[in-house]
Amino acid sequence: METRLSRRGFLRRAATASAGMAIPWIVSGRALGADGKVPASERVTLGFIGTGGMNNAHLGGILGNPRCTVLAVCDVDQGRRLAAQQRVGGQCAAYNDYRELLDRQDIDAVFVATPDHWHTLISIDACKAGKDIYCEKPLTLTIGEGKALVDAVRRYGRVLQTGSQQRSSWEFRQACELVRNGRIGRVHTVWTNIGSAPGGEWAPDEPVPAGLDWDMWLGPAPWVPFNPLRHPYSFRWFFDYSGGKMTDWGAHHNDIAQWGLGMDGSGPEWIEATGTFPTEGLYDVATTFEIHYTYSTGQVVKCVSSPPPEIRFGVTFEGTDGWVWVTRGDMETEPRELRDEVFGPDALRLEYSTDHHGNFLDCVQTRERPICDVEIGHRSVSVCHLGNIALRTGRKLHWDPVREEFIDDPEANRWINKPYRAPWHL
Amino acid sequence: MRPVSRCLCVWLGLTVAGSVWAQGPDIEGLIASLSAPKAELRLDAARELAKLGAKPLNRLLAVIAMGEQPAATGATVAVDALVQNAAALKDGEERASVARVLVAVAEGGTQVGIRRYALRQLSLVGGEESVAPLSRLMKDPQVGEMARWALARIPGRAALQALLVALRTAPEPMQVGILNALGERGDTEAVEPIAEVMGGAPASVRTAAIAALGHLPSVAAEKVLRPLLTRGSKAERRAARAAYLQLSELLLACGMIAEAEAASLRAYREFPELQDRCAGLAGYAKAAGERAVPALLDAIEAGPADLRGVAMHALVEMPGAGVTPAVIAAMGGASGEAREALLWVVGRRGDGESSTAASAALRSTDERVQLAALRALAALRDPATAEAILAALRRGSERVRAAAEAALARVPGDEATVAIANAVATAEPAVRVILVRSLGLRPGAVSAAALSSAAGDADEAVRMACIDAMGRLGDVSTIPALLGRLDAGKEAEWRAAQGALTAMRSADATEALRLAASQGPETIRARVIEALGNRGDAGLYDAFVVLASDPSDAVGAAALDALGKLRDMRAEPVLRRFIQEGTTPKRAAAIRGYLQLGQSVQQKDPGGALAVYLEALDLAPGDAERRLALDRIAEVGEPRALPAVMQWLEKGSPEVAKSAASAAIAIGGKLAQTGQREQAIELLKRAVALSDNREAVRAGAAQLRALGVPLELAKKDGYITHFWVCGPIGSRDELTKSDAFDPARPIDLAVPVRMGDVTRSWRFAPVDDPSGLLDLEKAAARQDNTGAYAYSEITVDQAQDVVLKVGSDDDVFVWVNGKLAGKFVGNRGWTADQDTYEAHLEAGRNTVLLKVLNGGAQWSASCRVLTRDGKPADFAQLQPGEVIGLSGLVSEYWVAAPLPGHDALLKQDALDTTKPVDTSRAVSFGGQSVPWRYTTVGDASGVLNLEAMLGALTDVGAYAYAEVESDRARDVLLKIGSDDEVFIWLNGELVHANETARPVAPDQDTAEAHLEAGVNRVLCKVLQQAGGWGLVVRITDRDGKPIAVKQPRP
Repeated sequence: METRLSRRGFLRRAATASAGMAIPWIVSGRALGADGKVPASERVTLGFIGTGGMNNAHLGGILGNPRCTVLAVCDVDQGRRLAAQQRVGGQCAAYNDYRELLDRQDIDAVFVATPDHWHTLISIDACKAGKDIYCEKPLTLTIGEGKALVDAVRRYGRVLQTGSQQRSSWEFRQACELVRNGRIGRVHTVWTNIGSAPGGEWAPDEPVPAGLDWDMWLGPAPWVPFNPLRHPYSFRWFFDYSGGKMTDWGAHHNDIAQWGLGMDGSGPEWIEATGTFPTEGLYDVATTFEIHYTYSTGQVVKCVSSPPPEIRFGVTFEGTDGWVWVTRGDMETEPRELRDEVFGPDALRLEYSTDHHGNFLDCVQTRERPICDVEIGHRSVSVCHLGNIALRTGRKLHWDPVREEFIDDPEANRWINKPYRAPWHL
Repeated sequence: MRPVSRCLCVWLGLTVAGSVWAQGPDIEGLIASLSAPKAELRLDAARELAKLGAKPLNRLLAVIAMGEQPAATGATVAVDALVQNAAALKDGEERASVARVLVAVAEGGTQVGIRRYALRQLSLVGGEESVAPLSRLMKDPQVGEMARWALARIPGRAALQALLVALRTAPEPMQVGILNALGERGDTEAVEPIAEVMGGAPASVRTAAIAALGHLPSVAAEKVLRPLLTRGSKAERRAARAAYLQLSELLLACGMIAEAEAASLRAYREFPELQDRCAGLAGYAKAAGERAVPALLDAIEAGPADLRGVAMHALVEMPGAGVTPAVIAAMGGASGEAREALLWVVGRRGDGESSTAASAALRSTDERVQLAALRALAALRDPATAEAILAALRRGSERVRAAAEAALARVPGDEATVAIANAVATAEPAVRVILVRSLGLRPGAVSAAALSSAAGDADEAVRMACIDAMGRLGDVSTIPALLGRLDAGKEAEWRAAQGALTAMRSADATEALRLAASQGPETIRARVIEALGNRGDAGLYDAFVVLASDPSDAVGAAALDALGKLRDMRAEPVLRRFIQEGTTPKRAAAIRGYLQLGQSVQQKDPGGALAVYLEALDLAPGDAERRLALDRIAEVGEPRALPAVMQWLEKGSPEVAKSAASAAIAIGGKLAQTGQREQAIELLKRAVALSDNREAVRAGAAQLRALGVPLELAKKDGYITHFWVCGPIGSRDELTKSDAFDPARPIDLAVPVRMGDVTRSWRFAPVDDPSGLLDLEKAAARQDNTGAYAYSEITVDQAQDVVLKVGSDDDVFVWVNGKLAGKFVGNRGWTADQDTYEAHLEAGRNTVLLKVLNGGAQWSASCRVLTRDGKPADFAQLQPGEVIGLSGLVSEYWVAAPLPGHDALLKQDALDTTKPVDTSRAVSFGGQSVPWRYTTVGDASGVLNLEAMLGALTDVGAYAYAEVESDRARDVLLKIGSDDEVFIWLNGELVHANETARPVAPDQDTAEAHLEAGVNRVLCKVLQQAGGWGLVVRITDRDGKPIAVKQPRP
């Protein structure tokens, strides 16, 4: 009889949780005590895999949260690992190999914030180990990984929240509700201005620094000698580990474009791209680009690094009767009064969350799907992957968002997956 | 210049000596352009080369192999594009040509990197013709894994066969990789070979084989896997279960439904791990369809939560007319949690009798079921359910009412609106509030009429909710009702009505309000005008000008205020006229309006704005307007305003003097910045004593501290204002029950405190707030669920009994001389003097220790010491210099920073280092002028943390000046630490320099120096490249023993 049986049952609450409800003032279902405390046995126990910048930021929001307890951290970089362990304090364990952390029966859920090329494998292994997952964006490295991850999450009935926290912000939800309710007429164009990527950096390969498990850092990616540009931060400018600016900021703003267009669960049909790649240095992702995604509805998303001056950083929905621009912490509309519109019962309301972590924890307890469920994360980042594939192949591509493959283009279909370095496999 | 790889590869030699393709000069020219300094030229060259197909490929690969930058990267860009172009071509020969070149490089190269690169490219463009060489290359120890990687990506039977052949004879690591590739390819032809290779294979191969089988949708794979579920090592059994579950899904996707169903059911019933049983149940539901419903319902009833969750989602997604009836039927006998889950399902299926079932569930006596039913009804959005929701609203608990309101907000349609409107009249007040709020979300005549009618409700909460709802609705027909509330007795109510009218911006609403402004009782007219004025609508300018001349003072004053809010300069002559000639109320309003005009230009023309404010101050008819004018003057803070401000500071009423004091504080700050220090100090001292604006007083005290005049405002009332803080440390739970150290024992402020794995040092945290508040969010950190210690020493002449008045947010424990004097445990916001404790002070030194815990949000404390008859006790406090100076550390500095230009400051100085420093004169360098600021080092380590003081800056420098007293002339050692470079002058002589970029630490350098008897001048220049920035100076005797440092107060 597995010990996890009693632990999960213990966490179940009478939930009137806000997960899945687009209503601002629903009553919380958390059964707090009179003094607001959560008994230790009812707290969600967490492990943190990857302890660089993003998971350190998550720790800042999780430590001190009475709904959860951090039991373990994991990183292949010893310095980071020990620093995180010290930060958490108490009885926090520290691991080099994430599989040891996943083996722990007393951990309910994991926060995954490693370089992108590890996201899928760790998340799938977490599913197999019976853990729920909060995985940073971009959710995957390839479209094929995304399909496998969605299958695994559904198969094992896990909760997976993608770290696209913009969906838990008022301004993005308001913008998308305005658009979805036709307040700017029919949307014909969406601009996602995500900025350009750096290029030109070069450094010689070096011996592996003490305390870094380089083979494990590489994991399923092809083997290369250690280079300080690959680890820690700049992995995102290498196509073996990430997708450049497309999956860095594109995963955020293209996600909002999908939300506003009502295309969660689907994607574009035609993709055309122009861009430039660095002609010196080690980085190999596109530095500047313009990608046009045409949907079956005729709507076009233009994902750009260097837009016209009037297109600001963020997402701009252009419709027949106005426009909406939104970025973190700011929003403008034309007409102006749209900005603060309050929607009534006749309006279409989107999934509601004001706290991305809280939404995840709610769903761990209620087993409902979080606001950035795995399918949403996969579809949004697939838009980014499609853009990168179009840049790489240099031609217009025809995509089937239902079958999730290119139509009559076996060469392009080779980009849907990247083989894994042995012994790793999906 | 980048390092060059001089490897002359065999294939490169072949290329040069006798390449198959003629290389024209254009290719060489383009390749040469890959080294061009300009990125655009390199990019153009790469693009052109990519168009040439296989012709330049050898050369490009050679350039990549050489590794010279930038050409190697440009060549990579060219090859990437070239390969993609070839891959897309219908011309098989061109594609094959490219593949051949890549094969040749992969086979013939001696440089591993370029061979691997070629194989990568081959994975994207290779075809059947590439399979044989790749098969051979899999045996190559250097590139075998990459060859396998490439082969995995090449579609077609040939590649599959090659992998299967290699599988039989490959060594273990390669076998694992091949098995993974076979799994990725998903070809069922691989099942038998995989099964064969498992017999007697090492563990890694067996596990990889098991995983691969899970990707091959065939009955044969299932047959191989099934016995492995219960045989073999733990790792193999686990891998087999995962593979089996994956396979069952694939079988279903391929139409092998019966097999998929059997496999899933087996997993659900037999697998030991809960997550695997969840997967089995989910698979069984997909395969069996409606036949799985009883199992799903059982899982919902019996749990555990994971299985229940799987069953919930499966039932929502399951097609079939029988599903919803089965779920509804199960609700009748279900337990509480199960019923909630079933209601969730019903809410999301939304078919058949879902609404009826959810409505019926509202009659349950179990509140959780009621809440679940309301959530389901919110998801269903069926207008016919409005009455049921209303019934629940009427009879339910507070939580049920909240959920009912949320559900009503989702139910559309006129039918629901009518039901809600009809319910208002007979509901109890708390419910009426909810109903009118709901109507506020439902535009239309029905809502407008109901709200208008309810606006006069006997219950105030209902009226307020009504007003808010009408504002949200914005329906013009509600204007009369809102006008009716403008003469409500309570200000909150008429203000709310006014706000609602402000929000109505349609042309019809504006016209109706304009009419209301011109007739009717003057109170209402004035409030309507105020509502219109709050819009800032320039289109109303003319209307306001006309109304300003209304015979009613109230109406005219409101119109003048409204004109001011427009911030339209056209209004200036109008306002001036009323300032000169109007009645007192109109003059006051005109002054207020005039001040608004000043504010509109303040940012672009602060001098012009100040002129307006001074004029307004001069002409203001009453104290209220004078205070407003002085507040505006404070915003500008110009010394030019000082005479006028001083006049009101000296002669104004107490209230006006307070505002004048705040303005004087702002001006004092400006005086300090321009080097008029003595004047600034005098003005600030006076102003701080008189001002009642807490923020201004704190700002003034901080400015005085920076000018070397620490002002402990709260000390005179008996507050302790010198604390050493250690935190955040531990958690609130832990510190409620235990301590990080024994509070009964003496505390050494030089020794950090450790709790668990966290170590914190003590830091000096003076209290600048006149209310005695120690803000721990600033002194420790913004952190919830933690604690901090605040330590102080107070000295009294005589032993005495005292009373401690303590305030805190949240918990607090107080020790005096190691004995617990009192405590409060619980959540609360801070106010002064919340608790009273008795304590006894000995003659001489006494210790006071507070432990303050934080639940969430604000975190603070205060401690006041009073005599037994309630007067502030007379005590001296421990000074930071006494703590730090004992170890020889210099702790009090004047700092002039930041000065621009690290490199320039390395070579030259911004002041004459041989002469005494005049801290009243700003330091100029690089076009900037920076005043001296006085600061005390708070850290027991003695580090002057310039980064914390000035922010994260780069390429700057600072001067830090300190005076040290010595009772006699003596030779000493200076122990110095810095980040980054440092220069030290003692009494005008350079005694030390270290031009090293480094993180600061104590005692990094030692310099011999000589102190004179009396006051010695220590001038330090500390430069900053990037990262941390700080300085620490310690003085010891020549043997290294610390000298107690005495520093004269400024």
